[in-house]
Amino acid sequence: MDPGEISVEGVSRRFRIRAREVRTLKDLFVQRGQTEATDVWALQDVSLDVVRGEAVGLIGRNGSGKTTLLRIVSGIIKPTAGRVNAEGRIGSLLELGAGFHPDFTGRENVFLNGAIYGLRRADIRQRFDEIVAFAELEHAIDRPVRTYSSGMTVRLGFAIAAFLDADVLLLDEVFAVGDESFQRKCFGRIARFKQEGGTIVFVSHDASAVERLCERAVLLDAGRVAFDGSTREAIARYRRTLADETDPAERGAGLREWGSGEATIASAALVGQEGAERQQFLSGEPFALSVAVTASAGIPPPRLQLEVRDDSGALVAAQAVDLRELGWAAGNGERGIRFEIGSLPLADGRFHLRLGLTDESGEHLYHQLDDALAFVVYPDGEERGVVRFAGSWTLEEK
Amino acid sequence: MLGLAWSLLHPLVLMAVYLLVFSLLWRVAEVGSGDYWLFLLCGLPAWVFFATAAQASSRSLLENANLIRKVRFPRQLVPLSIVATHLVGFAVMLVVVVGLSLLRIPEARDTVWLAFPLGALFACMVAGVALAIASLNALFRDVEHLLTALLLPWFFLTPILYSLDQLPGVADYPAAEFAIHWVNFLTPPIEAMRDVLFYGELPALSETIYVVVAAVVALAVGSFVFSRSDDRIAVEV
Repeated sequence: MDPGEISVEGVSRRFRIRAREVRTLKDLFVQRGQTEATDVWALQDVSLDVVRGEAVGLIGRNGSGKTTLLRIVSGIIKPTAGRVNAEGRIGSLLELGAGFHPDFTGRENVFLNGAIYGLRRADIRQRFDEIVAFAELEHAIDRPVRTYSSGMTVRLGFAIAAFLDADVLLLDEVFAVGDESFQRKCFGRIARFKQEGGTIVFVSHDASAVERLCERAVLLDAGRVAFDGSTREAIARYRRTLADETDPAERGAGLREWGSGEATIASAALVGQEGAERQQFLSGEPFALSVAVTASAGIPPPRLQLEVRDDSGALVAAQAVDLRELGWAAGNGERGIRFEIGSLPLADGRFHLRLGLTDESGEHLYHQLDDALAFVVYPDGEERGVVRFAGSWTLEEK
Repeated sequence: MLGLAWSLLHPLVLMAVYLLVFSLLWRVAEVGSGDYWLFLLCGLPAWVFFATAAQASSRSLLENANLIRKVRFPRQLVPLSIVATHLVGFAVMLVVVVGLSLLRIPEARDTVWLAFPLGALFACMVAGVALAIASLNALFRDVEHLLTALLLPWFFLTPILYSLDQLPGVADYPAAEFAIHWVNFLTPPIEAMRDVLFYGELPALSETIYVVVAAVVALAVGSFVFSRSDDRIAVEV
């Protein structure tokens, strides 16, 4: 196996829970024998292969085994059955914060963690300033970690994990604390880590965070893999299982697709520079939308409408194209349509794409997909806001 | 540098107190030809090393719980690093005692250097004990208190203040003598060290064999106990 690959084969993990735990030798004498133990299987027959450079999200309800799986992959606990192999240097941030010694200063903890990750002192010293600057802890680095706020602890933990040349990053609820500007920085850093070929396994309750980071997600349910595939699908299923438990009346309400159906959108995908399908883009990158449309005989070529909205539902852009003008003479059969943008003019955020097929007048709706695709745009530099201005600055003599 | 001095402070104070009480004030026993204070100093370093290292390592896993729960690394390093820290103090004390012995006891000149291999074997014993105690204390939280309670009687049941063969009552209670000599695994290494440092004799063959075997057994048992409980340590600390 190469560094950065993770292989999990048929892993199960049992925890023994006793009604009255024997925690001291005294108990051992006083209680005379153990109380009945119940076995709790936190994981059952979980298999998972992650290749180098992949970002995989782990989602699931509380107690579904996400953190246990992360701890097993990191090697902190061992599986009861099955095999785990994770190659390379593993940086982990489990249960809010890295392994810090509370009485050591931030500086000492950086070196301690670096040593645990197997870095030489000189290597750590070389990266030290970068770590401290990223964590924004210049003023507090020589104070003991126990005096840090939870946000400061996570910032330092994240900075250490992200800058110590790990091959694999295991992140557990990193974004539960930490303010928004730091989260933005983290996302940027993680995106860079991924582009440089790092592998990420990411646990979060926050579906949108998983969606922003991962193309692939694994849904765990009661310690088993319920789904392993695209993040969108995994999140949809996750929401469905949550909804199953909440309000059955709510289930039918989220209808996202309607229309009369003479023509339909068979599939839609966003394509990146390299031609592969994806959901994450850097601001200013080439961006393409590829849609397949099927139409039954007897209707004129339809119009394809496209709307982009941000997370709050505000309209960012809307466009339409008459497929006849693209050269589709008779409106039957199946066609692929491609919409390309050389440099994506969006800056930062999560966007939703609505696709619609109408007749030529735009009045009769054949098919509409309300939330056909969602994608995330990361700032490439210091951009903020929704839109990226592709302008240029000049200096004029006055 | 200050850190090193600080870690030496505790054993040095302990040794100074023992010297003050037992050598200057009490004047316990005649120990053959040499000075009693030097006799005492030949046995004390090993005891102080054992007692402080065992006690500190018993708490070590719990004190580093945050690290153990969140990062993968060989957890044996936690108690072993404690032993290593105390080993520095032990080595310094040993060097001092060797120096004093060279000054005061000319007839021990040929054998004093044997204190170093004996010390190394003894360090292996301590490391094994530390591994076992540290892992047991993670599973049973009262092991450290039990150890603290045991250390005081243990000190008196180890021939440090006295020499086993010069106790008047030894002949009447052979069982007690046997227990102190062979069941208490600290006795053979301490006696052996005193032989080479104070009496200028080679240690008895039986004691030498005992020390070598005990070092190997302690390390083996310690690492076995630790690796058996390794997984539970990560879950339970």
